[in-house]
Amino acid sequence: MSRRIVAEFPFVERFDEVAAGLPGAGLDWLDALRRDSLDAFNRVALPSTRVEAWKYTNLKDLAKTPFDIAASPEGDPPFDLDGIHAGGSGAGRRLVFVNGRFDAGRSRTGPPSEGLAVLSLGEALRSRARIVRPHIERLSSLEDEALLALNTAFMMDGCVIVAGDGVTIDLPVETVFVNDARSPTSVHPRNLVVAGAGSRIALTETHVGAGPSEYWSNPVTEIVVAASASVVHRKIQRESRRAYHLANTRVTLAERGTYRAFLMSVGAGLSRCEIDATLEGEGADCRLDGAYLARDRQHTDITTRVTHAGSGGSSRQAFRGVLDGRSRGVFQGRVSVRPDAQRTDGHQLNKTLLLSNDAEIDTKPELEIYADDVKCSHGATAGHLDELELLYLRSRGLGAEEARRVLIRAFVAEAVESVEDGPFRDRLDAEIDDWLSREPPADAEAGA
Amino acid sequence: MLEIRDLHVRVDEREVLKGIDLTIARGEVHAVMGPNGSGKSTLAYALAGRDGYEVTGGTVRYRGADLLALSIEERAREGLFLAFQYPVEIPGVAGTTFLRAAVNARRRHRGERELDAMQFVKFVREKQAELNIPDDMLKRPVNVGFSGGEKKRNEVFQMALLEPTFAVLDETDSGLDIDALKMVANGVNALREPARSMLVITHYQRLLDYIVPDRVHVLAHGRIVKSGGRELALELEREGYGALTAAEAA
Ligand SMILES: Nc1ncnc2c1ncn2[C@@H]1O[C@H](COP(=O)(O)OP(=O)(O)OP(=O)(O)O)[C@@H](O)[C@H]1O
Ligand SMILES: [Mg+2]
Repeated sequence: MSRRIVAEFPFVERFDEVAAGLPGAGLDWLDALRRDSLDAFNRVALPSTRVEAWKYTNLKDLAKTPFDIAASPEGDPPFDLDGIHAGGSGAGRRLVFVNGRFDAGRSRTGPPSEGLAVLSLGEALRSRARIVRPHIERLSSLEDEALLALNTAFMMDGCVIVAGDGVTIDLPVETVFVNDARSPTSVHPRNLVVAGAGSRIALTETHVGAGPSEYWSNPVTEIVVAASASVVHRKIQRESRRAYHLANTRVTLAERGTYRAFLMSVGAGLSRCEIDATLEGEGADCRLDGAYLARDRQHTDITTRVTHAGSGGSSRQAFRGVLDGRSRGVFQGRVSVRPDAQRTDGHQLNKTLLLSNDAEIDTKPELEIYADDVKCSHGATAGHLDELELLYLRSRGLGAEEARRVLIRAFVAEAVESVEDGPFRDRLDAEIDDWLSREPPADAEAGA
Repeated sequence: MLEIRDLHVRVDEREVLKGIDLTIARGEVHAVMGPNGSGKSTLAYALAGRDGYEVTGGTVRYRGADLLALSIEERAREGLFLAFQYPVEIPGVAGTTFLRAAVNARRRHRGERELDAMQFVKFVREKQAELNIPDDMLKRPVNVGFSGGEKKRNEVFQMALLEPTFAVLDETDSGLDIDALKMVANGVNALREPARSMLVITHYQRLLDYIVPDRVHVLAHGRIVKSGGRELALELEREGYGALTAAEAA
């Protein structure tokens, strides 16, 4: 078996035609960058399970699906978009993207504000190319990353937030990515967040999907945290069960910058959310938390890479998952400590609750430490519901199903506890309740 | 109230109860004593319906019906309560959430209106005072980080809230200091009434000074080897189980 999977996606073969309709078409630098990225993708191709980082997540079914580029939606998407908001009064800024296209009518970019730009990538490429270009070019030079290269080649609309030094956004910026797939299609949203020195930003990403067809969502989010800036980034992945969701988040932190992420992964037939954070400056602080819930034949992969390059940095990761049916979870967490990153504190924890004997979790922690004054740890557990806990609850009159739900909820709640924002925590709670109450659908899934 | 006939229970391929006969009438309190490993908790778990406690023979009738045909939760809703020898810690589940779910399960079963959070707080307040259960203990996850004594008090507190018809107390006195023992005993005595029966498992006759039983039974090697009035407990305290179990073995 080769290390690469060669796929022939119609949208890739029709690159020239497709690219002409993408954001920023006609900008020389971007046209060239897209073409270079296409070449890079064709050269490296999709990773097979022979590639160590992809050992547990197999893209062969994705590679066999004749994906085209997503078309503009016909009619209204089948969602109550008002029900998806960042919390609070729902009055904050909101950017909605349907099938990879910015939907101005459903969005609220908010009043112009001193030192702050919240806009779609398409608009940013028109009005602020000078700011976005260096970031997009820098990230796109990571050539052996096939999915990143593909995203750059076919970059569709996304959210751009540029906050000047010292700027604070009170309400989180809500981004919603809606996919309504009538035939096998792909979307490649590209987001960029630049947080100036001492600024404070929060954003929420929600991915939802529907429609009768398989689709592939391949979003890339780049986050640049300047000195003493703080970025809170929350994501709910609730794609259709026919979806492939392969997401890449790339974060760099300057000195004393902080990045807090919470990821909830409940949707998609096959999903992989990669978070790559580099603590470049001294005393940077990165916290990645999340929860994954899967059943039937869902496959959910969370892969993190935290690189400590500056000294005195700290990183914490805690992910909890619940797996039912024949689902499979993957948690790969790598913490690298470069030689100069003395006094690094890095901790990682992964706990999984297995609700069936056919569910499986593959956990792979990796510590690569090249500095000597370092405190790093990792831990992983996987287990079933505790018989005595169930007995205790039932012996007090709770029904067997209720007792099960109480214990599952309690298990996930410990992950959600770290979320400080009440309204968002309510949304997470609602997701969990929804998951617990949902009967497994009988329809086919991506990756099954 | 409860009628156990020739009850055989197997745990892990091993017959632990080898024919128990025990009848507890309405309003009576019976004590069961016996050496470690004799099967006392096994009896308690079998009555509660724990999985893996396989009844291989005999019958248990509870208020005229077949107890063994009911699920764990049905038994509880019918008024059976087990105070665990080792109360279970449940991380992530707040005490109040748990108690309200339990109380409401019972109320639903009786066709009573469920209590909302506010009503529930009122409902528990009085019993909290009696058993010295501070608010903080109810906010914490069930039993997590509780001391041994706190766990036992919490069991009696739950019993007081659920107002069972038949309560099994499995070594609820073990590990309690004198004051806590009195508090627990008072809590139990407050629940004594003609319509409620109890089975009190204990190693110490001391508890029976406070909770005076109608009958005392000695369980050894999976059988009841002797029954008597409360003076039997005093006799056991003086002479130990040695003589009794030897007689049984012979
Ligand atoms: N889950 C189990 N698996 C295997 N053996 C068990 C199990 N539960 C109980 N036993 C065995 O059954 C016997 C009776 O145990 P039980 O807990 O009923 O005793 P007990 O009378 O309550 O003792 P103690 O006074 O120490 O609480 C013991 O030999 C014990 O080892
Ligand atoms: Mg015992």
